[in-house]
Amino acid sequence: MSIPGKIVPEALKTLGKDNATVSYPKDKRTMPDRFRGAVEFEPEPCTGCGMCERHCAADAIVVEADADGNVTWSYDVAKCMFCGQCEESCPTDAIVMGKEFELAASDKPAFEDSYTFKR
Amino acid sequence: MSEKASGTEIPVGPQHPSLKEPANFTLTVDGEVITGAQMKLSYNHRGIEQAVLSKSYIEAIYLLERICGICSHAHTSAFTQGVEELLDLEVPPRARYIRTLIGELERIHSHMLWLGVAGHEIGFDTLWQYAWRDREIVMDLLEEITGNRVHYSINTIGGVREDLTDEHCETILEGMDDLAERIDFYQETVPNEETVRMRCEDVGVVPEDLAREYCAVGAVGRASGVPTDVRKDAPYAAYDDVDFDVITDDRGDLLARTVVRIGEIAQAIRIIRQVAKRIPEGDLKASAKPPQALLAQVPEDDVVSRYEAPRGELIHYVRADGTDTPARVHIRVPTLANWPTVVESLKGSYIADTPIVVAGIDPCISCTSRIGVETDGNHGGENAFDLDELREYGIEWYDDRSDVERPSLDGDERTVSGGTRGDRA
Repeated sequence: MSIPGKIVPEALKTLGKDNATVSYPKDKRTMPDRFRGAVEFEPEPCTGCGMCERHCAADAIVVEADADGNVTWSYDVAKCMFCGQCEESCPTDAIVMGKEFELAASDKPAFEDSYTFKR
Repeated sequence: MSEKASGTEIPVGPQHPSLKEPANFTLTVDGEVITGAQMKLSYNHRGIEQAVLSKSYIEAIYLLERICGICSHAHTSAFTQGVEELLDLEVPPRARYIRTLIGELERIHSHMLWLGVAGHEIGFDTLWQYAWRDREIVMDLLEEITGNRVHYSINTIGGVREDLTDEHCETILEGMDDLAERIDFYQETVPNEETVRMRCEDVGVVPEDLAREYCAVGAVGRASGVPTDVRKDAPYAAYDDVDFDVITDDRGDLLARTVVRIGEIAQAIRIIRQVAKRIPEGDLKASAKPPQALLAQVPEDDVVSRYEAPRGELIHYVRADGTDTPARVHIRVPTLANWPTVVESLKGSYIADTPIVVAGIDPCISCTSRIGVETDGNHGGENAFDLDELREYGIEWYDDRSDVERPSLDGDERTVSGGTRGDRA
């Protein structure tokens, strides 16, 4: 900036500052408490009501029940857009948005997560 | 918008005409001066208006949020305000304040982003790096409050999903103090800087009568002396409870738009400080019912919702048919309203000024692409097609152009649902 009297103080101030970026992956930022990463599921409290599937805009969650009362809850992190509506819609807090954000993988099955349990 | 003028034609775009988005300008030039301009849009139609019809109102919030990566809160607010009006829900004051706060933080980050891009377009990369570094103050605050830097997902029907703690208010006020210092610096230096003045003064001028005639919105209209601002004209959220000024300028050139946008950042800081200090206690949602119960009550009706996005007036039209999915959603983004002024202000500019004149309205090109979808058969004009007519038009188009290769049938097969996806492996 060429305004006289502005450039020198600005340059001196900037000299004393740290880098604005972090050197990822060597250094990593700590994520804030409310950060929404991959969905974490706990089968114990789940009632199999399917509200998470119904409110998932990305169709990342599928809940199926068979005739014997077994519920299969499956989740595809590659489809997930991390909005957190499933956590909000779950009446029994079986779903929590986790902190995991390094989710890249080279094979498709690695994105899929599935739990089968009796209800 | 189309005006033929004799002379050399220069195509600009559709690949990266200045921003990393597609739009095509055909400029007719006389030497270095542009004498005529035509533009073509809709290179990246995404079908969001159609996709939203297959989603419930709750899911639609997250789909519509992804229309834009910069004004995501604007789209969710406009949509939820519309649905709340349909449901006749009274949003609690605390939720209205939080919406205002996020909306203003978003306005700061959008304007700082634009300031950086504008600096880059005029070859002033120091300004670009400075503006984007200082923008991180706001991005960090947004991440802290909502959990995400870009798609905040804080709006829900009837209120907001996350509360604001006292620590948040303190962090926000501290962040605003730091930012206010930087904005003072930009207000003093940017409009007086020699590089900025040389590239922006009297470039891309939109006079007031032209801005009015073409219904320019947002900072483009305000920089031409049209004091249009939905926050004042039809206050939503908590805007009738906070004090702020509508920044206007009467010069109408790029420098005026820069000054107006920096001034708006200062006003946004003023609003955020008031919100952080005065936020009332209370509920976050209008109704304690689960979302599915609310969706079951949406009546058969339609609504138009307006919101002052960082780029100008955003309009969402929602028609409900009594089910939990909308029957029609139409979105008019501010960039669409501002394109005609770009075509007009390009005329008479130098070729080298094209990038900054195009970038001067802060365009969001992929947000703009829309296509008319007819739902009841009453609105078809002479340009309306049904599927068979569209097919016939396509075949004729290729018949007339023997040198253009027809899309192969193999290509078609891949898009058929349940097609050959598995077989390709």
